[in-house]
Amino acid sequence: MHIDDDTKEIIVSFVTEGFERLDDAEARLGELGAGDNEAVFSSVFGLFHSVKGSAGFLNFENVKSLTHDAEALLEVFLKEKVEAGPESIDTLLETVDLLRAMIEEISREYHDRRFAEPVQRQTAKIRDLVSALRGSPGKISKPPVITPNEIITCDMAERFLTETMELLDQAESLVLEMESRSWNPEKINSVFRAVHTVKGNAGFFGCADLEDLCMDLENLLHQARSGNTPRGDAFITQVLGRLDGIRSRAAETRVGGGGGPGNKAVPYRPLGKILVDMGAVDEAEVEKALEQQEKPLGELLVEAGAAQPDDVSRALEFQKTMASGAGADAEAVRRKNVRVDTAKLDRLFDLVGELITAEAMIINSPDLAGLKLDAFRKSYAALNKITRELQETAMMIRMIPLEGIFSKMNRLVRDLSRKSGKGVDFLVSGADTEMDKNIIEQISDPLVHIIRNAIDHGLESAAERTAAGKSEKGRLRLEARYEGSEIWISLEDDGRGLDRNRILAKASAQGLLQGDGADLEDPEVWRFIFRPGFSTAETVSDISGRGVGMDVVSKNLEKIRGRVDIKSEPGRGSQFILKIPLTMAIIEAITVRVGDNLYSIPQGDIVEFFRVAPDQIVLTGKDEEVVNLRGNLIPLVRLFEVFGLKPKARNVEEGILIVTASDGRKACLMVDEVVGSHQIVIKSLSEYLGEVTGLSGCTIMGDGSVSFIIDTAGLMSLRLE
Amino acid sequence: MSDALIHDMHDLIAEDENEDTQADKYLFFKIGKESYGIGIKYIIEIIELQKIAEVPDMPRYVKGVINLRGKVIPNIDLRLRFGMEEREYDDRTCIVVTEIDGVSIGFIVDTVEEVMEITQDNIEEAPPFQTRSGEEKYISGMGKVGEQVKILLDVEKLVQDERLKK
Repeated sequence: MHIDDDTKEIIVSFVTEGFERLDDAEARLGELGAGDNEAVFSSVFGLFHSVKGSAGFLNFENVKSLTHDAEALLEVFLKEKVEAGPESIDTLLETVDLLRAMIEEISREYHDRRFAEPVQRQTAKIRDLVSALRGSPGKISKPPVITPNEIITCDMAERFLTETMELLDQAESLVLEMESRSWNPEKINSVFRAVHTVKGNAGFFGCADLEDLCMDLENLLHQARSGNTPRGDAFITQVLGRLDGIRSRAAETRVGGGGGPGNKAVPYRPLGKILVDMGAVDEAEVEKALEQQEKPLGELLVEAGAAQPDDVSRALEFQKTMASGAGADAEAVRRKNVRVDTAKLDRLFDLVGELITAEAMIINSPDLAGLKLDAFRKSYAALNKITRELQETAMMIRMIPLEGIFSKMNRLVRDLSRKSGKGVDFLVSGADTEMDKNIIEQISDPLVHIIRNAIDHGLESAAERTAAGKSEKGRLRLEARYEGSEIWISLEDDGRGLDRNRILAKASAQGLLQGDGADLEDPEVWRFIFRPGFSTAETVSDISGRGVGMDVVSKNLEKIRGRVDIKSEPGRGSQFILKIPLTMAIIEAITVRVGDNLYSIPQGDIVEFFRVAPDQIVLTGKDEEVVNLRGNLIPLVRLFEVFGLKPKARNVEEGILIVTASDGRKACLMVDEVVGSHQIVIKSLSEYLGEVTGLSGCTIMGDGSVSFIIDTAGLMSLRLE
Repeated sequence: MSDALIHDMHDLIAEDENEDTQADKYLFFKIGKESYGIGIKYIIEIIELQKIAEVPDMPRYVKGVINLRGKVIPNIDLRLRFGMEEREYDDRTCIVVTEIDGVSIGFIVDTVEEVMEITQDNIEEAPPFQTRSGEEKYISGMGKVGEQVKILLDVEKLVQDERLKK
């Protein structure tokens, strides 16, 4: 089947919106039981309904029929006040999953035909469920009618508005094209479809007058289509006029705070109607004037002698006050979101990085050395202020709230709790905390693993909990908050806590530990669980226990320069805190020179640097050198050896030693000299080079030279194991 | 290589923004005595040799990275890539910056020569010979220009290396 580009474009936006709506629906379903179930069902209903609407328009029959039946199920809860049991919620969640799978398919194949069978199965299941629920005694099984006001949320209204405006813009440009070129039935059809969609949405949102306006325009278009109306300039002008009317009417759609039911839109009244109501003109006259409308209606009526100028201006006045009066008590919904391709955002961000680098190159230019440049410095300071602000703004654009990922966790907790048979109270706070979107992608997996662990290993069974004097249901708290230049995401459970002895036994069995580990501090013991293949679980369960997982946590966090802290008390529970830098694009670093190359070490990894005296170096039995720093023995790593360079300083006492710490381990890195401390913009090494052990990326210095960023943790495991 | 020559090359490349006319054009450069060609459509620009920052743990022919207006670009020494003997860089040494599948890569060559058009019907398949250095793997065809025969390189194969795939 051939699909033209226009349709493809519509499908693409259907897919994006579809995913968003399903995510919303899933998130809302996760809130069930926590409060107002009815509000949840009604907003999910609305979301399904929008998906159904667009699917119907695009002929995705399977999506349409599934959403349709899901609506029927929701209606049972909404209208007949039947309690939704876990089974119903499962079915709804399964439905969301299936819809998502279909939309994924649509994004690739542009159709959902292959899903006929699973959809049939799911709809059958839903229907059985509906009849079972309706069958419960005392319930009337009358097909319910939902009034739109009950299910419209502020968010939906906003989306409606954005969509409407887009459609109207589309229609308008099509009409204008027709004006400049020629009559084109295909274009008229497109305009008709756009208006029709607006009408449909308006109907759903209960904007009857908007619906009327659309209907008017549809009639006009229909007549033109069937050749009953001249198709000249007058026609185009007329269509444009109507489109403007619809647009201004739509823009006046107002939603009150809270977005709940009962927000009635103030009805728009066409001038003609007001005049008729005032008794100033005859309805037939208005109709007649409208038919040939090329000028404002009022003028026409006056010209035709059908109305008095005074009446018309009074009516216009009235129309105006109606509109402005409505504005006083409610905030207008405006188009405030713009969809932007993420590639464009990334490009913008790169450019800002380049700008900062270029700026540094200018101010550090050797040509300026030694010159007295007061005015120049002043201008530079102004420029610098702007670039900093630009950088912050560019960074902010990429920040999105954690909400999305948190609601996914909600779903996960629910599934795991049912699978493991452990009741879980899941508390979430700080979902509005914002993070760089690239970072959010990296923390999804770690969070999944930590939650799995908490439910599977951390929380005890109901019986154990009661015996220990705890509530039967386990408690899990997911929290996010800003902490200085970091975001802390913590997951706390009130389960049995980490078992120090078991971890030590396992560590020693795996040869990770010399001695019995009695002298190790707790945090050092907890580190072991991040080792690949480390699991103390006695049995491998469906959920976890294979020892993969926790190492994913530390790996992913390393990638984004974050770290995990663990607190745990036997019998009281554990807390995992993911500490993540606000941005991974810019860091403070110390830049050093080794041979001809520059290296930058993240400031957070550096403890101190110093020049060493020869007698501080101790040779260990295995021919390794350690540095005796105030009684601490720290392994010595000569960077020139690691990176295979010709150094200026070969002897330890000629170079500078930098003490770095990461993952609870320390090392002394030997470099030729310290160049300085800078804010650096992190760039990835070329895709072509892949991952380079010991390096996490590179940056461009003020003089244009490239400095490699040292991946302290990676470097240490490279040299110290 | 003089600045003037580089500018000339740029003019030659820039002349043909149009993809259709680019299709048959090749930039030729020298490595040792031999002249090699790369399709113009891959080439972003030609620059003089710059300071290259060495990256550890790389095959010998990956010389390191350069900063090209804020972009960090890895560089392949084609001499070493073909397994030829290393040679000191001099003022004729150039970096041919290419873009392949969105990834920028620089090729270090002895010197660049000229841009020339070779139509498809003047290109023959490379004969199945084997050189000592193994460069034949990267040859996409032999182009005839009058009496001369020029080697055309397959850029995509040049940047593929199992050792770099991780």
